[in-house]
Amino acid sequence: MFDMALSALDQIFDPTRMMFLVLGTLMGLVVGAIPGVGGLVGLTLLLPFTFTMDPYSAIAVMMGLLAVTTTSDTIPAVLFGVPGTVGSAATILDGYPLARNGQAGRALGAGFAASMLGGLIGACLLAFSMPVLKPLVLAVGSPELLAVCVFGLSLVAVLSGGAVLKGLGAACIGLLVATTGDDPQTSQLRWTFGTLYLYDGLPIVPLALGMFAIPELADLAISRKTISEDAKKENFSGQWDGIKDVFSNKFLVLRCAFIGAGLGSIPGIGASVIDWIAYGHAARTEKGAADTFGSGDIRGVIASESSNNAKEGGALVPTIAFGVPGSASMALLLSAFLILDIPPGEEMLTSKLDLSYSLVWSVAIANVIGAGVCLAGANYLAKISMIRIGILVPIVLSVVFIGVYQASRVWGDFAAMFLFGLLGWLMKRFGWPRPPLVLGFVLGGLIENYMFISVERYEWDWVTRWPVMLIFGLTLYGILGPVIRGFLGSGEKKGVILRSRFGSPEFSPASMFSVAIILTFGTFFYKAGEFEFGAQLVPRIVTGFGILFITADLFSQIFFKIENVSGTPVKKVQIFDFAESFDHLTGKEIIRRVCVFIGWALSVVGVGYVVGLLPAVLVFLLCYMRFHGKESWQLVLIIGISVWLFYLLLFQFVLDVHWPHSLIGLQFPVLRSKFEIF
Amino acid sequence: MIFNTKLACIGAVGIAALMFTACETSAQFYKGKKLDMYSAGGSKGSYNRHLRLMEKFLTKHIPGNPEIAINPMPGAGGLKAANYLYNAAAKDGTAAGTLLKTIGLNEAIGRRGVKYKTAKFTWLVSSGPIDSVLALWKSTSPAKTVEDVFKKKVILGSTGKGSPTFIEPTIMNATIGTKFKIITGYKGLGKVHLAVERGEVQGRFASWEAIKCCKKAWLKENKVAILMQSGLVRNKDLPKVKSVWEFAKNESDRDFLKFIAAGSTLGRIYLAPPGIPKAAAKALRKGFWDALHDPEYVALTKKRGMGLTPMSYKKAKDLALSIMKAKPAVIKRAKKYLLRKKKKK
Repeated sequence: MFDMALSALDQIFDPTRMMFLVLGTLMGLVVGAIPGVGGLVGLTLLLPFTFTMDPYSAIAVMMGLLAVTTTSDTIPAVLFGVPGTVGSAATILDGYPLARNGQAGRALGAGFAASMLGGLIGACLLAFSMPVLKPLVLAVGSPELLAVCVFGLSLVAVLSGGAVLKGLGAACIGLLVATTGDDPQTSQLRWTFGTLYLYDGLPIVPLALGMFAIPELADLAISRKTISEDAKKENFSGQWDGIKDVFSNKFLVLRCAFIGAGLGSIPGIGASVIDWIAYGHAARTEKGAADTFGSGDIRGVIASESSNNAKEGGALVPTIAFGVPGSASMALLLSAFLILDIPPGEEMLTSKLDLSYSLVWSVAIANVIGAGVCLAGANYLAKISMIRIGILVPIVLSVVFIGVYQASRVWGDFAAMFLFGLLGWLMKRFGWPRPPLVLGFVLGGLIENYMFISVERYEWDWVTRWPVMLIFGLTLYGILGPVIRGFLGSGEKKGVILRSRFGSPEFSPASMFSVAIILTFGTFFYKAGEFEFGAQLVPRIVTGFGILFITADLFSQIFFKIENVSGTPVKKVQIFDFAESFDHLTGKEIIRRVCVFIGWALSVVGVGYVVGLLPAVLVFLLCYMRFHGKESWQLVLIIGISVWLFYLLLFQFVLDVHWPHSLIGLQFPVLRSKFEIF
Repeated sequence: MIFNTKLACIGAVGIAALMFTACETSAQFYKGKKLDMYSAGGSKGSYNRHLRLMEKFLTKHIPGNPEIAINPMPGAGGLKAANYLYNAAAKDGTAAGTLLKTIGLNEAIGRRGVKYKTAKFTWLVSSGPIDSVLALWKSTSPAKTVEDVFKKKVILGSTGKGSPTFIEPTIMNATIGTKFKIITGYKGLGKVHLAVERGEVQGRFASWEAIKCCKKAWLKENKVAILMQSGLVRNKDLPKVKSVWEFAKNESDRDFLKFIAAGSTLGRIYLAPPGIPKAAAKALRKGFWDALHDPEYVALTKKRGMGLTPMSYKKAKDLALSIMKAKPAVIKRAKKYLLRKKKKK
């Protein structure tokens, strides 16, 4: 085994192959930092070039790219609250508040260092577990997968911060959205509204960008403050603090890397779940996490980032051992393997073990190079948080628009992002935690699926399998543990005495929002009755519970007043609710600015529909900076045109992304055949 | 008479000039152009894998040597790519695609969401049948022979009730009397295979190529029994394995099973949007045909266990149209199994 590993290392250290590895890594860093684009686009681009390479070089360039997208995705997550890839959604919960507190450098430093260590641990685990891979993966059946997903869903309580009922309600929204599309059990189409767009369910990219990116950018545009303007001072040498944070939390890194690699190796869990589970684990187990997680605790960034890089090593397990890809990127990698005549399966663990180890080395080396490059630039990147918002918002929003279209390459991606953007913004304003919605969405489809397979295959015998009982036991402990500890008087220890009082009803915009959600749940509950039993079961249960949770929350909102009679201040933590202060604005002005922001966003899509998305981006950049940001024409032209040319170079000529067809392009096909951006 | 001869000469020269121009155009049509290839199967599937392998051979053989760009467009059981290629893709010859074998069948049974006319596509070629086989895991399946599957309950894995991995065994249960219990919901054939290996299901009715190409160890170690196949004609790799329609008990069942089997034989089809320039269609047909017969490509597909039995565009189109012209009774029966259940009123 060690001979094979050393032979693979020797192959990878060949100068040409190292060059390919570095090239792949640099490309991975670029695509990872662009929201919505991710490793899949980068790999698609690379693939044709790999067919003429020898297997080691092809592995080096492809793994270099895949291994580090989850390193650079920290950049938009921390700086703008925009997840670079779906695997970094949990990073924003603490990374973005840190940037708002003037600690962007520290968050980036910690994120990159945690990514590197996580990636290395993931690679090591893969290397050592290679001989026992197969029996391990074969031991995990649908009932075990179901148990893991239920465990993941139990983290909703942790991710809800101080608003558990609202969090549960939000999770129900996510679970309901996950039932969209073709139901594999009954073959009925649910909630597709007659469109093909929703036929296979809602893609996660528009939902994630809508829930996180749009509300944050909208708030920045409305408040017109720079990202770190409220901070007392920006610490530009914070990256070293971040690195130190990682080493002082080395056991957290180790635990989360194990979670990442372990769950990554199970086909059927998915990259978008892993960072949440690691974050939830940290929030439950770290000292004092209940008071600080979600409002800028560096350990939240470390947990999420170390797990999502470690998962790449794990995800290689089913890919090489069984030819079962753990993600879309792995599927593309697998198709490259087959074309390169690298057969996944038994051979990769026996006669071609050196190729498997070259995968391990590529992941490990790429993580080191990727983190090194990012760390070198961390402090410069941190300065982005000081850029005036009139310049920053259009630049970031343009990338979000280009990225979201890559989800399924139809106009529906924009519609979905706007819808969830509006919902996300309202949730943020009214104190609803958003992470449970995303968690509900990513786990909803899996839970329904594994539940039906388990019941259909084993009836109820699956409940008695020992791994299932063990995981369910852990889940119960996770849920009931804090409740029991609460009853044992932890509140008194802090000297806080809360008293609830029944009072005359008080209505607010927040309660109106809750009523709207209840009515929506009610409508879906009613409409679900039109499906046959198998297809209506989950939507009805979810909407039923949703109504229950939100009604209870609404009741307490309207009738109950909570008073702190002890005089001891209560720190109320809302996970990732870095509430933008609009105190300096009147209600009327806020509404006006919201409408203006929506107008700008819609105009990009509207103009894009007529002339093409990239030309519309140029118009948007120039007009927004000049007329909304009130920047000088000179600055607007220099920045606007430079940024646009950079986008043109990057998206059209380097990444060769697909552009939506515009009316002009359809009317004049010659124009589109010459310039694809139309 | 002299006038007529002169006229005839001028006409002949004119026609020759036009033909020359046409040839010239056909040869030069793709020079410096990019051909966008849309794949209905998505980045995970075999459609994408075939296209990727064919990519450089297409560039080599399509006159003018265009650059090929592959755009996976999975979704809605292949309808998304088919509708896109028919309605929205460029009709100037710079777009083509590989669509699912079910395009004619979907139109014939009136599946909701179909926005194309199978006959009007510019047909290019079929690279060969996509045959499904009944593969049972020997150590877990109670059925060991083809006779057993009519007597013993066998648990099969499937990707969903709308997929052939469910529909075809269901039809077999209803027509020829097999006793399959089908567990649906696996996300992709890879997950079904994993479920087979860990004993969660005992077999599957799905692509033969997926075994030949990607599960060579199953065959080498004799772990699976291949008991039935799906095509109109038996796959050349499996001459002793009977097709499903051969088990039909009466004429009506046979007609129906052959109708279902025709899609397998139609196989991996390549088409361009309707109404593309004739020069483009000619160049594409020549390019695809030559690429599929390139000795290097043939050797590569053989080495990788990928099916290759090219069928000309005319034959492929005729087969697709014959599916659409099936007897009303057959179509009615197909609707019962293939269309989604309507919502309750």
